[in-house]
Amino acid sequence: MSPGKRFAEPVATVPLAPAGARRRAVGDFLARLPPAARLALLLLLAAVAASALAPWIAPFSPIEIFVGSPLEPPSLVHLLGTDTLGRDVLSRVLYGGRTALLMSGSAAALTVLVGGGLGLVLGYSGGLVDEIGMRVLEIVASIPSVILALLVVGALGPSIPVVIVTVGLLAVPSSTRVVRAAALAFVAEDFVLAAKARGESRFAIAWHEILPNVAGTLLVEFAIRTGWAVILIGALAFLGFGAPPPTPDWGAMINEGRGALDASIWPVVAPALAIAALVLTVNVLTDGIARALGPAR
Amino acid sequence: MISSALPSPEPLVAVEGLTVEYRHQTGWRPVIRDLDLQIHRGEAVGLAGESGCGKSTLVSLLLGENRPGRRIAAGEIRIEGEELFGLPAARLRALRGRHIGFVPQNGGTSLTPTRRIATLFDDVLRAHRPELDAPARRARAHAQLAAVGFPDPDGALVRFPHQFSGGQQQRIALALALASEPGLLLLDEPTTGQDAQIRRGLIELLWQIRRRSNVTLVFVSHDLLTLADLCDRIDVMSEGRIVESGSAAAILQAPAHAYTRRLVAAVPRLDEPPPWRNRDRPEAGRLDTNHGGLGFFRAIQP
Repeated sequence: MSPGKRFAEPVATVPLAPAGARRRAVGDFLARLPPAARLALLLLLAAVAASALAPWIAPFSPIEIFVGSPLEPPSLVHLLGTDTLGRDVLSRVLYGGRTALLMSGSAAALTVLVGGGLGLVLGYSGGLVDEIGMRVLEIVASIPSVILALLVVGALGPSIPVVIVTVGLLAVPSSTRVVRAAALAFVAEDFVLAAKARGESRFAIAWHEILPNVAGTLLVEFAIRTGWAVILIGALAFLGFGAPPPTPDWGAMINEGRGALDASIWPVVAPALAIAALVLTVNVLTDGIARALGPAR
Repeated sequence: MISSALPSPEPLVAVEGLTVEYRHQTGWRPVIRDLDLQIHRGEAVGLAGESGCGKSTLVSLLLGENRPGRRIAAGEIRIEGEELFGLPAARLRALRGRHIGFVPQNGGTSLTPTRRIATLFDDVLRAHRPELDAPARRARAHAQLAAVGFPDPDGALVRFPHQFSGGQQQRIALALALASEPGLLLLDEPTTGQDAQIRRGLIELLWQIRRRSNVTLVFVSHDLLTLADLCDRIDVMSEGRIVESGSAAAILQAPAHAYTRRLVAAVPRLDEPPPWRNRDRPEAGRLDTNHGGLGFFRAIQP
C-alpha cells in the first residue's frame, strides 16, 4: 500500500470545521456584545423586519394619494396622520425604511468593498504605491462630501443606483485609511513573512493572511458607514437629490412636510424620528461590536 | 590533472560582496558589510552571532525578501546560480516554498491565527505541488505532521494554531516549511525561547530530517551549542561580517577571532562554575575565559 493510499482514507473523513463550530462562534460573539448593543441589534432587526414586511403590515399604499384628508392628525385609521397629499404617513415611513435600509446598506457595502480592497492593497504594498494612493485619496477626501455628492448626483440625475454609488464611493477614502491602518499592523507579522516564504502570491497573502485579521475592522467600518449613509442619503433626498418621487423616502418626506409644519408636525416628525432612531441604533450597535471585538480594533 | 580542470560545482547558495544598509535618520547605515558566503548542497551551516549582527537580515535576503528602509548597496545573492534579486516575481515565488523553506523564530506567530492547520498545508501544497489532488494534499499534510512527531495528525489538522503549545507550533512550522520538500531550509533562531527539552527534540528532529532528505540547512542562532549539535560548519558573524568559519569542533576548541572567543567563553559549562561565582569562592578555582575548550561536552560524556 502506498503512503498516499495509507493516509488518504482516514484523513478524508476528517471534517474541516467541526459541526456547529461556526454557530457557537456567532453565539459567543453575541454573548460578548454589551446589553445596549444587543438591544440595538434587536431594534435594527425589528426595523429590517418591519420594512421587509411593509407590503403586508402597512395599512395603506405609500403612494396612493387622498386615502385620507390632507394633514390629518393621528387617528385610529391613520396612526401617524396623513401628509399634504392625504397619503398615510405610517405606510410611507414603513416603506421609506426599505429605501433607507436598502440604499444605506448598499452604499456602505460598496464603501467597505472598495475601501477595504484599496486599504488592503495600499497597506500590503507600502512604498511608492501606498504614498501615491494615499495622497490621491486625501485630495478626494478634502472636498466636502455633500457638495461632491450634489455635483455628481446633479450631473448624472437622481436615481437610486446613482445615489447609492455616489454615497458609497464618497466614503471610500476614510474606509481605505482605516483598513490600511489595520492591515499595516499585520503586514510585518511573522505569519505574513512565513506566507511569503512559502511562496504565496500577493493576492493570496492579502486574502488569506491579512483580510481575516482585519475582518473585525471591516465589520465596524460597515456599521459606521451605514449610519453615515443614512444621514447623507436623507440629506440628499431632503435637497431633492434622492430617490425620485413618489418613492417613499424619509429625507424627501421631511422636505415635503416642512411647508405645512404649522398644520401638522407628523409628516416631518415621523420620518425625522425614524432617521434619528436608525442612526442611533446603528451607532450603539457599532460601538458594541467594536467593544466585543476587543482593543485590537 | 583532469579534476582540477573541471569547473567547481556551483554552490547552492552563493553570496558575494554583499553590503546591506538600513535607513536611519542620519542616512543609510550598513548592517551587512562585504559578506561572502558559500553553502553547498547537503551542508548544514550554522550562523552564529550577537543580536543585531545581521544574521536575520541575511536570512530574509536569502528568501529574496527585501523591504522599504533596507537596500542592497553592493553584492549579489545567487541560489542555484540564479541571482535572487533579479528574478521576476513569479519565479521568486516558485523558488520560495518549493525550493527554499523557512522556519522563523516564533512558530506560533508564523502560523496564520485565523486558519486551520489543514488549510495552511493546503495553501502551500496547492501553490507548489499542483500535481497533488485534495486527498493527496491531505495525505501529505498528515504525513508531514506525523514526521515531526504528532501522534494524532488528524486531530492536529482541524485545529487552529493557538490550540497548540509553543513547541508544537514550532514543529508545525517546520512541517509546513518541509511540506513541498525544499532543497534549502532556512531556520531563523527556531529554538530561541524554547525550553531545553523542546530545543533538544527539535535539533534531533532536524538531524533525522537531514539524514532522510539530504536537505541543506542554514541555521541561525546565537547558541553555539545548538549549532554544534547539528551543523557541519559554523560561520560566526560580527558587525555584519563573517569573522570566522570552521567546523563546530574547530570553532569551539580553537576560536581564532576575539569575538568568537568571547562567544565560546559565554557557553554554559557544567564542569566549571561561572567566573562570578569563582570571585565569590576563590577556592573554587579560576576560569580562563579564553579557554575555548569542550568542557561542556566532556562533562556530559557518560
